[in-house]
Amino acid sequence: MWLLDAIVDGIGEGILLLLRIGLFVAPVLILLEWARLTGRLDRTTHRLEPVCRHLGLAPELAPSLTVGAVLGVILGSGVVLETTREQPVPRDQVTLLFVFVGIFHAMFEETAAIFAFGGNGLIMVTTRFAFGLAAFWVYRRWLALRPAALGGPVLAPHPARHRS
Amino acid sequence: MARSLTPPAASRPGAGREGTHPLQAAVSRGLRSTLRILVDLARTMIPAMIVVMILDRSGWLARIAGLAAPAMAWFGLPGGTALALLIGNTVGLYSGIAAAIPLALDYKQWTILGTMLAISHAHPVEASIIARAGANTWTVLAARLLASAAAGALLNLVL
Repeated sequence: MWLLDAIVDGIGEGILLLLRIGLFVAPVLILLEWARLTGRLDRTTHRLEPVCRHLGLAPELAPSLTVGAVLGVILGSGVVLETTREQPVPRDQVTLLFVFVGIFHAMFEETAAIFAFGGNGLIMVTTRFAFGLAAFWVYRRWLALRPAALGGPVLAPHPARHRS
Repeated sequence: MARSLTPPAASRPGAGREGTHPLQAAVSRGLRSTLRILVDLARTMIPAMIVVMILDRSGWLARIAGLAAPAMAWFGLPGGTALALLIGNTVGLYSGIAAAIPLALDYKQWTILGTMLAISHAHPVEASIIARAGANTWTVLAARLLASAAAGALLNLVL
């Protein structure tokens, strides 16, 4: 019965894999929660604001940048929603942010997971960061080449987005 | 800007600030989110694993691998990883990794596949999240796919 064997093996390997991922990801998530609770993440954000301005990204998006790059796309997008509710940000700026964050996000969690399987986490993070920056730069140049873009459609504040 | 970074869904008023030590709160929250991630993963990863095991034992994986081998050679990966990339890009990063387990990849191949999958994964889910934040999904999607392919080809040359 190779079919039954395959199913049993699949479940067994899957559970082993989950344990292995958990072993590597749990310490990372604990450290991240600690950084968030003690305000270390907030401080990093403050230091990033001038960098954002320098790179041509709206400084209001600095919190989304840190949360996205460190914690992941889902939480980063939540912070963007919070920011745009108080203060409209051009749509192109949000796209610019996600061009970078889409490539370089959840830097610790996903690296730990890949590391659990025997990949080189350091090479991975560096490559992702480099390609994220490159894509960011290309899209930024593209925006600069059509000056109308940044004065273009502005995200309207939409308070009804968070439904409880 | 004294904005709190904690998104509304995750913040419970006062949690970790009054009474409990931050480290203690961090451990309990970190473990709780690890558990949540693992439960989430079990739902998508174990089915992916079963599908790949069945494909492997029935010989279909070898056939798919034979077809995809020329394309995957660009990235220095065996043909079977095409399935891992496909599952990773549609279902999720961890399911993609799970699909590559039966292939017995080496160190360099894991690094390349891991980088490619980490750059570009779970597009149906993440694209909808990115769209909700107000970004142009197609631009982000194109950037991620291109960066993933370029990173794979580059790492194959460099490593």
